[in-house]
Amino acid sequence: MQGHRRRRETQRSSATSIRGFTLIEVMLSLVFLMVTSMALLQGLELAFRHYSLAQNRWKATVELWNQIEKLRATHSPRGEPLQIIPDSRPLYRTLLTDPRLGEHSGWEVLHSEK
Amino acid sequence: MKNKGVRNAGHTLVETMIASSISIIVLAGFFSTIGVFQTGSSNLSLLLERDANLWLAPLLLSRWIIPAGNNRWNQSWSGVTIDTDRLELKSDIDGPGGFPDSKLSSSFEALALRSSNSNLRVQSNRGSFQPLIKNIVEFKVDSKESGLLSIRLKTVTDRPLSMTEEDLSESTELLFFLRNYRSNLFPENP
Repeated sequence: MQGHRRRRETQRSSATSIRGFTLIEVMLSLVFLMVTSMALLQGLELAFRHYSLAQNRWKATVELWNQIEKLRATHSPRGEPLQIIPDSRPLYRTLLTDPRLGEHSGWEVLHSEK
Repeated sequence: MKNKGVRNAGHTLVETMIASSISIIVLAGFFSTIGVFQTGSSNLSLLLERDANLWLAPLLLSRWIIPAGNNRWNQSWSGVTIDTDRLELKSDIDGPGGFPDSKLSSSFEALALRSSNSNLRVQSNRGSFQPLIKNIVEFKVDSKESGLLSIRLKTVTDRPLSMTEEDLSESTELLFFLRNYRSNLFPENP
């Protein structure tokens, strides 16, 4: 009697060990795989977008730097003289507007007489 | 006995075929995504490295070019000298106690810059040319009107990017106004 019961338990446990995955488990793992793939691609896209943003900002900075240096080199100062240190030669203020930032924004450049 | 037979029956051929097909499709999709991700991140890394080199150049160049010359009334050297693809900068920026000493003996007071073997190289005083910024394939210096110095830099990636055949060089032009050749803020008379 006892031997018969033990044999039945052994059969049950071997049947359990080879049952494989249920449909729900398979579906969940597929969903997880898809979410991981999408997250990787979205992360990559975000990284490229940040890179592009940084590159554009750098280009704009260089452009502005060049514009300021050109202005200091070629333009005669105009407007109200500004003496920031006593007995020094006066400086002049010029406003450089940046069309990308709108009409009311700009950069104030100080330059001296040529 | 019947139950035991059903439990151990396994899958039918059709079930196995369908499961295999779905697995192949899903795994192919996953690995192609991983491939795209790897290629993209490797390309991005190359581009960032290229731009980091280029973005470093203005910081160093402006640090050295702007004080060159300094317009001191008794200065016996020319601040900026342009040779073919070579720029020489001399500025008395250091000395005992951090003040100028009318000598060009300290480090980085007499510099020469040039590009060779895809590197921007610098020579300080009488030393030899050392690599400063890598992957700079072009370094052109030009003196424009009104004391403007133009420097054109061209940089490339370490190796070609995967899955693209574009020309991936990046170039930029930097202008420096040599204000030191103009009057200083204070009159300089002996």
